[in-house]
Amino acid sequence: MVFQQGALFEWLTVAENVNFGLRMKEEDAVQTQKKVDEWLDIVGLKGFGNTPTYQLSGGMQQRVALARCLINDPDLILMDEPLGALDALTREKMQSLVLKIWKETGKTIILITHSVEEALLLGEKVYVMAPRPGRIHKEYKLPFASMGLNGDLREIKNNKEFVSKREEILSMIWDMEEEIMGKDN
Amino acid sequence: MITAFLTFVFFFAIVGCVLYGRKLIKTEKVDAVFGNPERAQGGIHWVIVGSSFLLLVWLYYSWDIAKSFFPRSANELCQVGKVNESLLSLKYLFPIEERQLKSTSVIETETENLNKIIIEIEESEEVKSQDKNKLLNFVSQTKNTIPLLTNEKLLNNETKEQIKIINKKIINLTENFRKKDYPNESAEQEIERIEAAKEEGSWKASSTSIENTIEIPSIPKTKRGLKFQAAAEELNLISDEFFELRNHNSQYTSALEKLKKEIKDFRTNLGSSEEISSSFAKDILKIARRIEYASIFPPNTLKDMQLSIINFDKAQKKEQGTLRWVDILLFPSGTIISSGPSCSEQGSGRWLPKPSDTINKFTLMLNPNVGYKQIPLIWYEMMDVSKIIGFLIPDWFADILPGEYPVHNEQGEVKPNFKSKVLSFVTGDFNLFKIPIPTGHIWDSFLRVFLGLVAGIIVGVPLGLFMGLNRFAKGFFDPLIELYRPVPPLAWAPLVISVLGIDNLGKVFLLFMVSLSIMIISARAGASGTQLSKIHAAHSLGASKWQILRHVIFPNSLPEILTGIRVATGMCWGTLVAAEFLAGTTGVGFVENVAKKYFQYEVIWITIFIMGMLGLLFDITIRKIIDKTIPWRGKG
Repeated sequence: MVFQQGALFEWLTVAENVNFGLRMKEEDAVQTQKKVDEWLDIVGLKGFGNTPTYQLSGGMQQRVALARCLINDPDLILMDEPLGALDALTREKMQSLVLKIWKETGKTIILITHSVEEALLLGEKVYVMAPRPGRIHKEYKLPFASMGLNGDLREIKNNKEFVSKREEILSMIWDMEEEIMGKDN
Repeated sequence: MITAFLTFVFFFAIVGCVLYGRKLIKTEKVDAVFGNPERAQGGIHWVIVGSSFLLLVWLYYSWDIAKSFFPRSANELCQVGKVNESLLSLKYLFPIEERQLKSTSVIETETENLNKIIIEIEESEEVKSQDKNKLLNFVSQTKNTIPLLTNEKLLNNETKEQIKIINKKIINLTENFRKKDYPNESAEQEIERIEAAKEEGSWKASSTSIENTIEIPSIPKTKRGLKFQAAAEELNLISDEFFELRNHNSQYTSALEKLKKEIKDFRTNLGSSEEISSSFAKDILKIARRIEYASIFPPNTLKDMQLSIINFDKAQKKEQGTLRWVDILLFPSGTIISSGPSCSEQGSGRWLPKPSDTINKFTLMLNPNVGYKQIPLIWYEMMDVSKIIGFLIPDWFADILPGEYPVHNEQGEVKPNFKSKVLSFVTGDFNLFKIPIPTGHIWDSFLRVFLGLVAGIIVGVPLGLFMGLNRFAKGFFDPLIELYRPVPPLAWAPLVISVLGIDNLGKVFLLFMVSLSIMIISARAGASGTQLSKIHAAHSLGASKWQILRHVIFPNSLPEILTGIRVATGMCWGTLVAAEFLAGTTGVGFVENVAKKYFQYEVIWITIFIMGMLGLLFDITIRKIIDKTIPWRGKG
């Protein structure tokens, strides 16, 4: 699981956070150390192993959280608004990172987000949810994630199809909002 | 000498820094508006003013400035005090500092008392009516004795003469006192006096003994002092002579004798069931006796004497000269008074010890051979390691071994066997090498706080964490803790101390109670305040219950726990000192309590200082530990 706020353990260093799961399973320390280095490399935090986590920026903390989760080789990764609290630039970088990890590990990732654009960019399948009661409103299958694996994310955002899909989903959400809250003025 | 120098240093430091501060205000450009905390930054010069002012106030109100600039003033003021003491016994007879003439006020109060008794007798239901009449007759007889004393015509000529002689003596003394060479001391006497004065020492607290609290030498060191002392002695003789004088003329004496006899007869004739009548009669007799000894004189008889006493008072005030100004200016809120053979400081100079005296006493107390009550403040003693082993290993360890302890044989010898050897090992009854162990009042106090605190932490933290996580634990222990926690710890002290003893056990247990509740509450708050997302994260990473407790909840509650320890230390320290007041034979609080009993103000201030410093030391240590162990606090 990856959370909105990282949920890192402040009393541990970056490396100790990452190897937390393996340590709890009492796996071989040398082996674990190797894996930690590997994963820190993948998420771009090489050399930060001994840094206390409270000295990291928001994006770096999220990357530690990602590594901490992935090092356990889980079958399924649940990301609960992992990029919500980041600034725009870091967010874009992290989006590429998620895609990269998805490509390299081939894991199933369930990612929850409030950003329609992010959903379109990263999702193979997008479920639009409706509130009260919470339910799946509509399901989309999208090609953009696979495109993003090789291409530039910013180009994809300007893709005509991408723009039209985005507008479609946005207007759908607005309609839902009006249904519930009543139309403004 | 040092004090005089310091006085100037502090004075000029204050003046200089105030001037600097004024200048700074005029020249400095401040952008900060009122309310901006930047305006409170800096200002070392005001710190200097503050501390110099404080020290100057200490020097001034402890009369150390007076002592360093006028070292003989206390001795001279002591002689003045002697005069005032002897003068007071004469003065209080007259409306000089009192409102009324002594005779007037005695007559007033005793008449009032007699009127009260009349009402009581009349209202009493247990006194027989014939007895009532008799008792009322006694009262009126007593009342009638007063005019016999206040009638000038009845005053004996002899008494008149004596009053005149006493008056003359006072006038003579006043005249002599104004003379320069009074009291005509011979050269030999002078040498003798100065020798004696030297031997008596100077004005300061003893720096060789802790118990000695006499600070003011009473033998006059100066000519001026001698003058006052001589006058005081002469005044004493005069007032003794006056108080032997009684205005008992023959008519009064016979009236009083008659009354006494009648009351005596009345009381002997009373039955055992009439105690109330008897006690009324006794009360009346008491009043009659009080009137007898009150030296009541007719009005105007003592007029001349009053005048001459006032004259002498004026003369002695004038003779004080500069000493009077020293007294007013440099002995604030009090002065030196004489009572009986010795003089003492009365006022702030008494309870606020002089810095120099305090430092001397402190140095003396730090000497391990002196200490306080034969126990050093803090020192070390050599202790055999075997004693520590004997303390740590429980004695029953030997009891549970198989076999029996040795029995003496027919020759009356006891041969040790294996079991008895083990016993002597676990009781520490053998010799190993010696190591130094701290000891003394300060160490004892420290150790009690430390043990109480550690016990509280060891029990409180796990229990608190458990209570924060488990419904049963919370429900089960909550009533217990919430019942004993709001009780002030000192309210428990008498009970705990009387059950567990006045030694360390009782006090440590009391402190354990104090720290336990604080530690439980803080650990509980820490445990229940753990972010759910961290626990979820740990769960999803595959940690077990115990691992979550050990690796997530415990470190996460560390800030709360450490803050709790800090609070508990402060509370324990406060409680300990008060508990040591109650009972005990060692500890800083004990020292202060004993010092209080003997008015050793220096020692009291020293203990206050020690307690402040130790409290500060504890707090700084724990703050350092907090900074080291939880650097992430406030940075999440």
